[in-house]
Amino acid sequence: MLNEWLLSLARFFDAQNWSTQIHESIYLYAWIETTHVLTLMVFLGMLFVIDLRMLGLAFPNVRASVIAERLDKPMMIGLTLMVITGVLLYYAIPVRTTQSLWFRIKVMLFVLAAINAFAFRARMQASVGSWDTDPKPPRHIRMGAAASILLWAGVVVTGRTIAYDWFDCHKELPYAMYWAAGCVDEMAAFASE
Amino acid sequence: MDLYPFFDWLDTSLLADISKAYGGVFAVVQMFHLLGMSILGGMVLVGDLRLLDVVMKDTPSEVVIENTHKWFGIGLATMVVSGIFMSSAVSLKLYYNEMFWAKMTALTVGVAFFYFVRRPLLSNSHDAIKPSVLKLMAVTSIAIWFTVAASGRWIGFS
Amino acid sequence: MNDNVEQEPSSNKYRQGIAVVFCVIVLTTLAWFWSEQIQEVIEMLELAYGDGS
Repeated sequence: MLNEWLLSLARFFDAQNWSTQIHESIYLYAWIETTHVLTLMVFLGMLFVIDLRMLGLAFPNVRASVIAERLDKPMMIGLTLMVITGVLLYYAIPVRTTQSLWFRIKVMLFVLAAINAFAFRARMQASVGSWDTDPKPPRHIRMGAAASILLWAGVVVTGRTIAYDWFDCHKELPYAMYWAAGCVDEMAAFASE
Repeated sequence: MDLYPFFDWLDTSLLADISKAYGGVFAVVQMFHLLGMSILGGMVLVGDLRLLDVVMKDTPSEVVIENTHKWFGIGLATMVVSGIFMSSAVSLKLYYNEMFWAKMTALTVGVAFFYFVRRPLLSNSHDAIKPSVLKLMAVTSIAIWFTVAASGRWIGFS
Repeated sequence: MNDNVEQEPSSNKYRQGIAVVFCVIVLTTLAWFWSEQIQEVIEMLELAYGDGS
């Protein structure tokens, strides 16, 4: 059911003029995509500085809370830009993106990374008084930072592999893969064989 | 200096065989390239934005800049190694690609600027340096690395 | 650590001078490079979308 709904939504966007305009424009899609990739330097750049501090691997002589608080705004500006460009990229090619296994995994990893970030922030704010000036924070903070880096690395690599067509719906895949990628028409064809 | 022989050799090297044959390996290496870019970009931005008095104003700029050096180097090394791997997959195409040479030029300038101009100057007390010079260096640094990244991505479109 | 600067003001001034010259050359070159790219984009867009099509 979710697959059908996602595909209907994608087809709805696909039929819109703006979607086609971005997709078929000489430069627009490329510029949006380039902005998306380059903004990684802002968003992930700030995030890595924070995570590396939380792992005790960078900026050991600066208070952990200072790093986290001061870099939060540029990080959020970066995140906003990435979400806007990301949504536009989805909107330009909605059907293929919706039915991309890698895109789906990327979204799930993104959600997990966001949950980790919120949990991490809460933990950090609760405990920061005691270890703020320690070069190496306590273990649970380091685990949160390590998880953050791994999850975002996952988001990056799955974002890259969206472009590959290994598991596209038009390929011959097992039924479970069709389901995972939301290849609704192919699933129906499978069932009627 | 004609670099064609190097690119020709790279095109048929073992590295090229691997990078051309396994799309998955290529994607993972590209992930490291992007993560390296994020680390390098992050360290550059934190340093430059501090010099421009935009972030971390309550931490001495000397401390901020000094702390960015190690991971800048790690980010750069990651990008160079992963970049060579990715280049081997399409090395002759790259040899004839204008954007690739623009990127390599910008990269060389960026690395030279970082290690031979910026770092030596900033290792002194920043109070002894004119604020306008600090800001000029920050702007130049951001401009160079933006150009490296943008021209790098644009290789894929040209 | 700050003593170095007081003892060698001329070398610091020299470094600053080199830095300024380097930055000006680099920024000028980058401005030229990007204006060329923008010019190319404009020409492409005119070719593709221009002339009342």
